[in-house]
Amino acid sequence: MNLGLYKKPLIILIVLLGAALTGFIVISNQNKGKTLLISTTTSVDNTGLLDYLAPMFKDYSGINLQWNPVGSGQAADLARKGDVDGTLIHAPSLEDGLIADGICVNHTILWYNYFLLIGPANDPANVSESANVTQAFTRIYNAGQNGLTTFYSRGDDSGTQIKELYIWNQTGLTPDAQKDSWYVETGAGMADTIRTANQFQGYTLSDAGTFAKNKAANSDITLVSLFNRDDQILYNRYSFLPINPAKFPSRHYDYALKFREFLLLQSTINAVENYTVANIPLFTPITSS
Amino acid sequence: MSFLHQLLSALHLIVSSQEIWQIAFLSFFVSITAVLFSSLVGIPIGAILGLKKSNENIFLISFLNMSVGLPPVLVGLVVYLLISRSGPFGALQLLFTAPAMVIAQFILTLPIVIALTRSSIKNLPEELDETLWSLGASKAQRIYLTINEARFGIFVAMFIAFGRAISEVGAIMIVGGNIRYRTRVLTTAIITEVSKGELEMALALGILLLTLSYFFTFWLTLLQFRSKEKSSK
Repeated sequence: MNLGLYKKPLIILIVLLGAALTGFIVISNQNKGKTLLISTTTSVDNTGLLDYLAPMFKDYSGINLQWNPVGSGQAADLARKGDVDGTLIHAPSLEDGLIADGICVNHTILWYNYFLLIGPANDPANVSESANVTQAFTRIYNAGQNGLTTFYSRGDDSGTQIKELYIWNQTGLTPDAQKDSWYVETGAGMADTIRTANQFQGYTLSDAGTFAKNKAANSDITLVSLFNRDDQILYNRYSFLPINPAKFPSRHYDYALKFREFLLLQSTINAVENYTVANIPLFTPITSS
Repeated sequence: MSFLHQLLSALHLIVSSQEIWQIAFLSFFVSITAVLFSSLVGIPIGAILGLKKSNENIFLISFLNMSVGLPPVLVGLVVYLLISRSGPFGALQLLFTAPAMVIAQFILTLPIVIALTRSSIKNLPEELDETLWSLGASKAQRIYLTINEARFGIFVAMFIAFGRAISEVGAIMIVGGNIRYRTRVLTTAIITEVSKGELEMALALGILLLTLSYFFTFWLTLLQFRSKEKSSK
């Protein structure tokens, strides 16, 4: 075989493969050290709270906190498949399932806030005058059926959508995205859904953090919070669930426990309480856990 | 006017941020490596398919042509299921790492490289292979020399494969996880900024992505031009 013919491409090939290998080594060295990987909801990620807590956790434990921002449904599923060391979500029904199925242990309730019902300032369904959120949803339903307004649902099994469906369930009404043209499933994250609702000047249910962040960052958002009273139904609690070490022994349960310990420190609780977006405090710690 | 002002300040923020340059480095590293591997595998396969003069398998070729348009999210989902801890290759612990993103983009770009290499070799004059054959060239030499003759078209295959990889978001979002400081790349960073409502920042990241892509493609085009000059000498 005449090697001379192949000499030049062989040299180029060896150089390129060497460069690729070096790149992989550089990248994997960047991630050396103890790393806790959790899944969390986009609504937590969008507030920047974890960016704020991660350096404090690093100082406290020497562990790097990394997180994978997805919807609560997917966040719980990543835990189910053993792809994360723990999960920080806001969907009590999913959390109970993770505990019942032995996927997670040490369910730790951390903070709470209230969901907001947001909509156009002229409030065509008159929800701001409602006695409670169930009545507000009923008014949206009636206004929607009369062609006066629209409602935007996440449609993505997120904690927010689970809450929204729970409220519809309480009203005894069942809007149908296929039949009712006023009820729209966006199939998207909270920020996208807020933008869609804003475009068509309709109503949607949002967590306080994402709405505050988007309203502050984007002057095009003219929707306002129309119903944000401390209605128990709108209660939105966030929990941390470390993965069960018996189920996934190769995951870092010890790091997840350290993070749990850190979250329950008085200094962390104070830091979370003082965390604001656009001067709005977003999370109220539940100290009695 | 205020949008333009905000955009400019976002651009300024970007070029002075170390994190953004890390994100850009990872984006280009992953996509270039994926195209490197898909070229290594795909160009020889494309050449073998292109040199075939009869008995072409219509099912194989139509499957190949369909695969040029593989949906990135679907590829991401399948790779995710394979490398998840609970999946068949879970023990390799590849999920949410740079190699996982390279694998997904390798799968996405491989059919493009194969199909376009095949068609550029089919476009060569038929006498070329006959001449090589009559000169007593071995099979490996025929493949190598044919690839060399078709290099202008193969460069195009690599441009398109790279363009596909660097602009893709569905697959790397799922298998990379968009984890900050670790697997966030330019396209997933744009998604993150949009969901934070930081639209100017998202647009500024898009401008950076296009600018860097242009410089890289400029360099490849230069190589392509030079290869053309050499062959005409």
